[in-house]
Amino acid sequence: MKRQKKALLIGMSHVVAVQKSLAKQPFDWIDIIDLNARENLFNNNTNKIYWSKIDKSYYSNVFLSLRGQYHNVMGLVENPVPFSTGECEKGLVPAVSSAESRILIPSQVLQDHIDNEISDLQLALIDQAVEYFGQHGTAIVNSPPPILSEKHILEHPGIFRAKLRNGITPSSLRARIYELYTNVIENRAKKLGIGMIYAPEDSRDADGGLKLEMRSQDPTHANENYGALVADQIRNWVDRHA
Amino acid sequence: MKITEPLWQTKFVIGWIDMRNNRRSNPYLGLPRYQFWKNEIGATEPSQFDPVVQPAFKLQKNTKIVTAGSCFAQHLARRLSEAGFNHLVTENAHPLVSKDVATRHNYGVFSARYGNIYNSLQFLQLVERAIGQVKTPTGFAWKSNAENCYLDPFRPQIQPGGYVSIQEMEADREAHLSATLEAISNAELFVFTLGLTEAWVHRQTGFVLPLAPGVVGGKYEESEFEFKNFTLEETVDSLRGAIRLIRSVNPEVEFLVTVSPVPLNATYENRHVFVSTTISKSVLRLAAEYVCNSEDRCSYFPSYEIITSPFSRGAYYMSDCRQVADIGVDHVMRVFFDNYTTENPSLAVNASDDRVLVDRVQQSHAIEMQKAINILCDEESISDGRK
Repeated sequence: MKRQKKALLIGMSHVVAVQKSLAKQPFDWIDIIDLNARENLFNNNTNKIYWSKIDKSYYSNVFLSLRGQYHNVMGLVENPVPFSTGECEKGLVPAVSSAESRILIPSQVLQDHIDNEISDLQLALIDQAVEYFGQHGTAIVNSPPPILSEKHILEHPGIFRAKLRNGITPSSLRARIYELYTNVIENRAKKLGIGMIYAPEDSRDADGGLKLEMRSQDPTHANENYGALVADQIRNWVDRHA
Repeated sequence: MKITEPLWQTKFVIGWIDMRNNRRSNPYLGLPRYQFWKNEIGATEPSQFDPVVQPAFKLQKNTKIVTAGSCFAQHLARRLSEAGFNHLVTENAHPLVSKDVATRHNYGVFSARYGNIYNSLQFLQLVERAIGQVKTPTGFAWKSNAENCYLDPFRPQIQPGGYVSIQEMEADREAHLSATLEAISNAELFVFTLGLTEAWVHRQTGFVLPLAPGVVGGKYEESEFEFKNFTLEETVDSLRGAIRLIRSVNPEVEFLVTVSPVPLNATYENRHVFVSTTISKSVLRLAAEYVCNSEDRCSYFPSYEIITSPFSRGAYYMSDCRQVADIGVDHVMRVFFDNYTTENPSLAVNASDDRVLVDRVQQSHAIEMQKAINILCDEESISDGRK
């Protein structure tokens, strides 16, 4: 009897939210690989995934959630040299006031910088994945939006407790960094001819950040409520592209 | 003394001189060798051609050099930096931005991010805007032809991908003009390369733009823009005006003027582009001559002559006969360093201590953040009980 092919979601910490959302009930339509928990599959030091250990013949669709934290690496804690950047409707974010001294990084420069910085890490992994699995049926699952609430971050600082004395980057700037990061990922998806699943609209608050009920108990991750929305997105994608 | 060769071929031209009356038999007698074509060693050894006669100054390793001008000036700026001279750059990218990305966005190409300045009036207007004598109208921007972004008409190709909004462009322009003023105010030597006499002028404001409207952005409307081919008098006036205006904020600055040897890419005049090139370069060369002869501490450097001289037999141009080949730039810089410096150009000027410190702080911050994120992500996996 011919085995039904499954979907595969492969990535790092952001896949945990989806795993948790599906853990309450049996699911047989998707396999989820958290590479951080699979040392035999992923060497973080060399940024190498041992693709041949994954039998691609099992899968009809592959969803990539590889790395995906650079917008937080760059944006969570205020840079030692605070900066601003441009935004379509607001002009500049954060808005430069007479009290602040920020160096403007034009948004195209910032986007190109992001592209440059993740090129050898996240983008390289995406390229490898597409080379292994092929274009057809492959899509990138974008990282969750940032948690813009300073209150949440201060209440759940985790490992960033010491670093936060430098200050949290203003929320409007963090939102913009996430947009520019998303542009980079989107451009890569277009270049590779694969699909892209964006963060679900229902997960976002009025400022574009992760809603309260979607947040994990740390400054950057989403929880299983978010994971459930993403699982639905993936399921719908599979059905549409079957 | 037995004369075995014609008089004009002797190493030292000795003519009949009436010692009592101090008169020469002809006015050319006794003139320096370099005033005679036949003496030029470059005819047989092109790399030896050195037309600099009396260099007006000597550079020190730390002399603050500001550069501006046409595309040829980019070669000078880059080579000065590479040779370890103090090419003053006042408009740097934020230290977060990697060097490759910064260079791609034209940071450090010139002393400030003004892009190519082809025309002396364009130069004067930049100085006026930087000093604050002239205000740029709000909203003076172009929509890009190719992408959904905005361009600064004063420097339409300065940033690949343009600006996301007019407000962003204006904020960057403000920072740029501040940096330009800083460069002007702190320069010890200002090297300016004249490029073109043809330009496009915004009728309402009189601003000279480096690119015709519609080429990369904006829209050409005859009612809005006019073509101008600046005359000798106009070029002299605006170059002199720029020099004097810079001296109003920086009285001690030395000027070195050059003319770009790069032919015109296109001419709007109804004649052959090479004919237009000759006329344009002639005007620029004469303008440089008149200004340098009349302004103190302003001298001409003959890079144009080095590249275009017949001694090189055209070897200093690339296959398009337009772009200057590296071998030509090498010759120009060799003559420059031989005449204007006493120091070995290979001795590098160390990056300022401030800059090194800022870069280290950025690197340290980025590494710490990445480590923290890695730990956080590992913890997320552990929280799921799968590690």
